[in-house]
Amino acid sequence: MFTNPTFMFIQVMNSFALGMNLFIIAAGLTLIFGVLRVVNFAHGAFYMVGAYVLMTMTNLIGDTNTGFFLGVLAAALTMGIIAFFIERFLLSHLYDKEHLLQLLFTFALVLIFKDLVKMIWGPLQHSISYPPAFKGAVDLKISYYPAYMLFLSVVGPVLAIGLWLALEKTRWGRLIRAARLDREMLSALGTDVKLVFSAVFVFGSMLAAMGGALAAPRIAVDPGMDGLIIIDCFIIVIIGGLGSLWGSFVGALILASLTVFGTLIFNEWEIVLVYIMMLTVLLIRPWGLFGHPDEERH
Amino acid sequence: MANSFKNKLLATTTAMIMTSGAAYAEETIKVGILMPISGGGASYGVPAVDGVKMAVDEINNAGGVDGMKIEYFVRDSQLKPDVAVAAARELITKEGVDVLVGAVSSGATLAISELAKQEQIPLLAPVAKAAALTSTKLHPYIFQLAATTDSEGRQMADVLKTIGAEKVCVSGFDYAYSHDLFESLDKNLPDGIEIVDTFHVKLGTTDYSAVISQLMGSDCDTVAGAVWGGGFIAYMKQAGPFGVFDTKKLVWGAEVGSSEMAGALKGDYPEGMYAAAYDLWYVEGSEAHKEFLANLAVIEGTNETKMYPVTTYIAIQFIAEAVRKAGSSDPKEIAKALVGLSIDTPLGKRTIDPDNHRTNTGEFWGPMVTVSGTEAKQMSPAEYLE
Repeated sequence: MFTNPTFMFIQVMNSFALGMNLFIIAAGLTLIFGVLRVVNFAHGAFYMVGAYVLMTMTNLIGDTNTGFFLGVLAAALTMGIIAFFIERFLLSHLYDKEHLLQLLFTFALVLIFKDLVKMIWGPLQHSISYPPAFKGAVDLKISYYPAYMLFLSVVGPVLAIGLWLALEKTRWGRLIRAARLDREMLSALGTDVKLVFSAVFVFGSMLAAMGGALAAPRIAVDPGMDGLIIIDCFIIVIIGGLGSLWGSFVGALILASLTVFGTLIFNEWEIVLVYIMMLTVLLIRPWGLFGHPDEERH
Repeated sequence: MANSFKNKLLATTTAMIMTSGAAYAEETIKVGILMPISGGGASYGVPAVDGVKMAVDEINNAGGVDGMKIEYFVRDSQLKPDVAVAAARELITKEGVDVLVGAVSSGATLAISELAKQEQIPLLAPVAKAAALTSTKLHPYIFQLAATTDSEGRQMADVLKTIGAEKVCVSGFDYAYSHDLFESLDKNLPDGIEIVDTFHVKLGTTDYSAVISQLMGSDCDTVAGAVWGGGFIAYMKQAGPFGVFDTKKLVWGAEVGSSEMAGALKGDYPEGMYAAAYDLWYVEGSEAHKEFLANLAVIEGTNETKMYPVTTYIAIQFIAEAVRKAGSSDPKEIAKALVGLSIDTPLGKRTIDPDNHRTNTGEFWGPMVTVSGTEAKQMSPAEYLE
């Protein structure tokens, strides 16, 4: 099986597509941590909200391309609005408090969102159709490959480059990077740091919801879908380095490859493999592959 | 004299307490329900609680069991053994339940079964199918009302024979349920059908692309599956574009033929896949079943009722009949009365086997096909296999 080049090609493609979906979600988590220094347990819940909003939109508009893409947009916007209120009226009061309070707060959000989702959409499992444009398979000459997985493989890198450019080349990007390095100095220089924090939390949460909406057609949408993804996200940002965009990109690819190839080679040991990888990184480079040692001091 | 008075007072008080206790015990039968009502398991637990409510209301409205009313207490077992055990312990010690019903996953049910054994409180398992519950782990207080992996494997072998399978790939979550099921399937396969490949996945995983690619590379003509719940939805959604449905026949256990699953997947449900279900709202059956469906439709507010209520409805029926037979709601007496008990259920006569505490629970099996007028596929023809 492993000597078959077509088979190996498909598995590499599988790893990449899965990795890109994970990256979109983890990028939001790492961005929020990098700037706000808040470990957001509710990131998985925001991902879940994204999937449910997409479901509502495709139910309203129909299983069309328009329905799907407007749905993804609506998922990100809805979560952005909710995140704005969460940050402005609740989370912002906890920045100068100890980390434990922030953790408890985001954990409380997880429980609240779980119940809200069940109240609004019910306890049953749901499935969202692929957008018609990416429903079937594409002939890659060596093999047929699911169109939606190719779509994810394109969206991920495009978003990564877009985010990188935004962080490096725009004024807002510079402010965000400055807030990461020294929030007091930035504030002393006259920048409204509160606004930067708010924007980062909103944007990071929008990425979670968008990632949830994009993942939705491949999985079941149910009130428990937040649990697994948050663990994956933490593994990714620990491997890649908390706060690092490219770290989460590489971390996502590593986790996805371990998942896919681990299933093939070790099967029952696959889950252990992921944790061994994480432990190794923590022992050798506690700040992660792309992180900076000084991040720990904050 | 004073001592004698004290003794009399003590005796009288004790007698009063005991009498009032007995009178209270006679008034209600306390049933503890352990079901996942939050998270991913809620899609099983919430409908299962509907079944309990329906049975209890019917029995209490008809005057109760020999004048005793049934009172039930629902606790969230999630899909976790430790959470289920803590909840069960609380139900026994705080609420003082006489009997337990639950849970969904085999892992959680095995865990509460140990507690039931220690506390000598009968446990009726309406959903968990692992054969271990009533084989290696059998004790006087566990009663498995769900179908078991032994019977499911036998039914699956019959279906594989019917559809003319020869080389079979099996695929399930990598844990007790799938292992037991495929072992039973292998044992029951007739000559000419063999399992050629096994592709298991981690329990609760959401990405199946690796195993699906392996499946496509195998020369099996049929896939026999046991991935359930949200995993089944993800598996099917991811298998479709890889072309699995065009090249292989599918036979799937784990009750994925339920109308809930068909309703979730709609057009993405593989056409013609053979699946199983405990109950189907569109299969009318006996008068008792029609009446059950009509009453359930009122509770659920739709005629397209769910599959799990019938499992807990039958569990409550068994409890009521056991109390009637024992003439008491004492847990030990209920356990004794359950052994060998027969009752008429909406799905026919069910008997608890005195040797292994299992019931003759069957399942509907058949191909899932498109039906005009509804998006959800339906099992047609649906055959009831025991």
